[in-house]
Amino acid sequence: MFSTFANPHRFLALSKWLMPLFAVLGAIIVATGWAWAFFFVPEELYQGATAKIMYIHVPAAMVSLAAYASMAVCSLLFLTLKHSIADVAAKSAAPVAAALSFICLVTGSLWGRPTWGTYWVWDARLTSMLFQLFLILGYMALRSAFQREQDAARAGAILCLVGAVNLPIIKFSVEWWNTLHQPAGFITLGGSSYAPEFYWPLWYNLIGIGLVFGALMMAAMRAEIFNRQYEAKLARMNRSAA
Amino acid sequence: MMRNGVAAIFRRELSLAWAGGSGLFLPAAFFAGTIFLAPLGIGPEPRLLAASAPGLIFVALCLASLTTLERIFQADLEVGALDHHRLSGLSMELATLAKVAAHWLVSGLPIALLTPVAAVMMRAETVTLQSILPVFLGSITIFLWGGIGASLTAGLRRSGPLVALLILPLFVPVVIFGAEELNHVLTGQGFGAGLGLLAANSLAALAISPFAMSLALKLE
Repeated sequence: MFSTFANPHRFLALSKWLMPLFAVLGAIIVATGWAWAFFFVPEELYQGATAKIMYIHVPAAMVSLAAYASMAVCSLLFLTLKHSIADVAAKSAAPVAAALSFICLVTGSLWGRPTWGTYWVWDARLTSMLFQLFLILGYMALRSAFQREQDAARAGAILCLVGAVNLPIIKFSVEWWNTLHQPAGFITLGGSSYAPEFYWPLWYNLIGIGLVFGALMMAAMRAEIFNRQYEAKLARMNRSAA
Repeated sequence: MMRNGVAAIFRRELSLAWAGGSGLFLPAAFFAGTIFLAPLGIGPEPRLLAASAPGLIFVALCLASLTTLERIFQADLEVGALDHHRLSGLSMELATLAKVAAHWLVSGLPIALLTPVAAVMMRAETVTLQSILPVFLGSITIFLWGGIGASLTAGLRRSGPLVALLILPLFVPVVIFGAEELNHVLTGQGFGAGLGLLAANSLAALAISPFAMSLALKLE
């Protein structure tokens, strides 16, 4: 199954119409989702209008976690199956994942000011998100330090997997250390603790941000594939000229 | 043959470190320097110093480990010693582990042994030899994770700051469990729950690190 999608040409053909579709759908859903959240969802009982930042904060957090997980899966596939498209996917997901982590941290900080009384607390979930951002930035810095793409791919994949193994340990240790953030409530094993009028707009926004992430990642992947094709062509031309 | 090969690498690393002269105690000196500088910034108030001692000791340990990390594999890669290890049929996992172990023995263990001195300087309440153990366990984990950073950047020049960015997130659990445990010991409560977690962390690093290091060095 993996080899079917590992073909760059098939990916280019598929993403040619899938990418704009994701982008347009994502833009529409995010725009209407925020309008829904800001103008039609009732205000939260204790926090008032400030709780509406949740519709940016929570989707950004969830999609950035999923993006890091997808980077780890792609790295594993690259190390085991040696499909270069898995490496392209991991590389392309990184900046988007970093941006979403950053958005999550900034919105969380802005939300913290009125509700907790401070922009930053060393709480468990904030701290682990901060270190996830550092892991992704380290991944990007490591890749960019290599001259040859295959060295960058290999080193990046190893670092990403080591980070993925460590992320649960980091999360556990940070939780052990301090917990102030409200416990997870949106999706839990016992069903959601959110009232339906907050629950559905959140889902809707989550889908929107997910589609935007997919579109951005596909765009970055296409650019990366074209770039590699160009480099390969250039190398061939240089060889035949010499 | 395998055991001899690994022992030979271990001995070679130690004699290289010994021959390096002053470089031997560099991380320990860095550690001591950080600890001696801290009271000048925090102020001489004993309660304040004692409260910040465990955290500072672990942060100083992490920073001190970074000072020589890049040297674990870089020189060997340049002179081709790593290729010889590879061609000898020796398991690269064991070879890298032997190198990190030798490196830790020279740079990490002295820091752990310095802990009681650092604790006295930081005006900790009860300073016993027990305070060595959390730093001992923590330093093992830190050097094993550090080895991964060193192996990933072995082929790069001036990789120091990059290694720091790569592996600082991996130090989070060690600093948390270690400082908590050291706080337990330094306030006279003996060992606490953190010790088991620190040991578990070291074992996890021991299980993962050799494979990641050998994978990273294979196709450099």
